[in-house]
Amino acid sequence: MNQSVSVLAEAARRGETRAFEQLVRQYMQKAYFFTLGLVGNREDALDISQNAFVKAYRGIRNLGSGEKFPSWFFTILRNETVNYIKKAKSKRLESLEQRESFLLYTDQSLPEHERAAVCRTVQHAIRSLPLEMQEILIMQHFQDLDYSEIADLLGIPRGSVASRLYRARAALKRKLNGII
Amino acid sequence: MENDRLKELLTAYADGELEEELCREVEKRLAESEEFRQELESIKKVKSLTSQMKLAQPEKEVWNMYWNQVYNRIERGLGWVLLSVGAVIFLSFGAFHFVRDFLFDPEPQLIMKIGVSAAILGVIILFVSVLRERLFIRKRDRYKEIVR
Repeated sequence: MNQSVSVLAEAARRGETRAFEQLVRQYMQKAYFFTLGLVGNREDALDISQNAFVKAYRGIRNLGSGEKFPSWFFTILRNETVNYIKKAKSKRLESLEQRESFLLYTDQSLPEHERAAVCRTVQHAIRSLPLEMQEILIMQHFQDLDYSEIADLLGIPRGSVASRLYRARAALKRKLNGII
Repeated sequence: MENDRLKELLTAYADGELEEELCREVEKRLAESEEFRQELESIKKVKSLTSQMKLAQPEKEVWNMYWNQVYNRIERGLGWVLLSVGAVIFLSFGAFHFVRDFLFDPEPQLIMKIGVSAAILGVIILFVSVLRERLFIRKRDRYKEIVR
């Protein structure tokens, strides 16, 4: 893990708002894209990720040590996201897939409607997987995080990243049987 | 069991995340087993498909404003706590004096006491109702960060 994250988290624990600001700046994109991949809506991803930072700020004195900041913060973020998903389901809110696409197809050789269709299919397939699989696929495939970063954020051993990814990819492949 | 372990290693191998020694173990297995070669091919297909996709980027402004918005939320949270504490103290003090100096005072007529009490109760109900509605709308307003 980046040494400065640990130092910044320790400083934030002592109440230094500037240090917390640096942590937010370091993790805001990871938090936003992680949430976007799970909830599929830009406004909600922004709202949820910012709320998670506010909760982290309020609770940072309870953080055991600075080194644990990434996994501790991502636990808060995941809980916020799961709560949102539960609320959305209970209120039957319109899902992102029906409103907008959070994935963009970069290969310009396909016509636009085909690109959009492939993105929708992949989004739908990812959405239908258990949350644990969704999050690791989003981190590795769409956020381009390496195994060490994923292990840090999820608070799991590096070896578990490979086993989770293996299961998640196998499940995704089954869902995408028609197109790959 | 060993097969599962090697398949998990195969995932790390396909991602370039495997140490050299384990790479050799996987490569040896790949040379021996058609099933493993197919498995690797299958992982590559998934990777190839998703590598052509990226998460939609927000406007650059989102990142510029991100910390300010988080800070505003932190600040507002503190503001609400202080306001609530102040309001509770203020209202308790007011209620205490209202009861002691007005309701228990024998001077004003009963009808006056009922009228003033009803008016105060009405104002409190209206205030709470409007406040609740505003908070409800604010919570669900997707465009609250947009400057009109």
